[in-house]
Amino acid sequence: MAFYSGSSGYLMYEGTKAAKVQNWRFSSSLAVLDATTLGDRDRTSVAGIRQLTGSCRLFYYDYKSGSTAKNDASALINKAIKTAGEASEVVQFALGFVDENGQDKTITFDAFITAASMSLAVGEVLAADITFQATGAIEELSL
Amino acid sequence: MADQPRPFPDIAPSARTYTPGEYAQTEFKALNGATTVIRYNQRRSDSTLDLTFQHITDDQAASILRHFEDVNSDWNYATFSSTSGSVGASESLGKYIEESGGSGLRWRYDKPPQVKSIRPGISSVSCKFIGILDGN
Repeated sequence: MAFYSGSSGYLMYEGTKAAKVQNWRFSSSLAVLDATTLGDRDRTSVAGIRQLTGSCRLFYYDYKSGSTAKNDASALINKAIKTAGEASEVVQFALGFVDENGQDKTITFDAFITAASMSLAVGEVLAADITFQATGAIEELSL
Repeated sequence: MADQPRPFPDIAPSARTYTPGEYAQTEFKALNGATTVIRYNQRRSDSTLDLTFQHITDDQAASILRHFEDVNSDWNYATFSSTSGSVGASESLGKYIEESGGSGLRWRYDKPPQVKSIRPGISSVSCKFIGILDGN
């Protein structure tokens, strides 16, 4: 039996593990449709549409992967904030952690980045807050 | 053979509106305000029944459409019971909703059922019936 903390976690986008992720979260919900009929005394429902949303926080951190300069916060922000004429992109996310047996526990899905925000202040490290909403069914679930 | 009862499928509606219809009559109002009514029948006619079936399965929606075809392909009429159109109503009110209390009215579709697709496998259907006093 084991508990897990942030040191076990990771976030991947487009198949690449993102550097300097401070936190991630996701929330899955199901909308129900009312199917209560005359004569019922208790509400009856049928399953409607599922939705998954989430957010993460990444430090705005420059690093090199091989010979390529990278900044994962910048890459995700550029998926959300576009100049005129550019279409918004779908991003594949995988949120996960490594369990006590070294196995990956992940949830993988395609999503649109619905919000990206950054702020810079004295005494704080520059970071990007990203929120996203999944589109389509979850691709992999091993939590 | 026409003019046969066709039981409505055992699907409980989520909403129901019933009006008992009116009496065939003509009113004459004189210049002095006096009203004269000529009543042509002691029976009411043209009662209406609106049923809404919210978030039912597609198969249930299809059974309603089959009933519509069954009633209208020949001059038949729809009947209701406490497990279909009059579900949840008391016995006394149910007789009016079913028009089974001797009114002589027969339920027929006033217009085709309207089917609204909600999501895969789930539909909402609205039906409108009119109680007709057959001339025979």
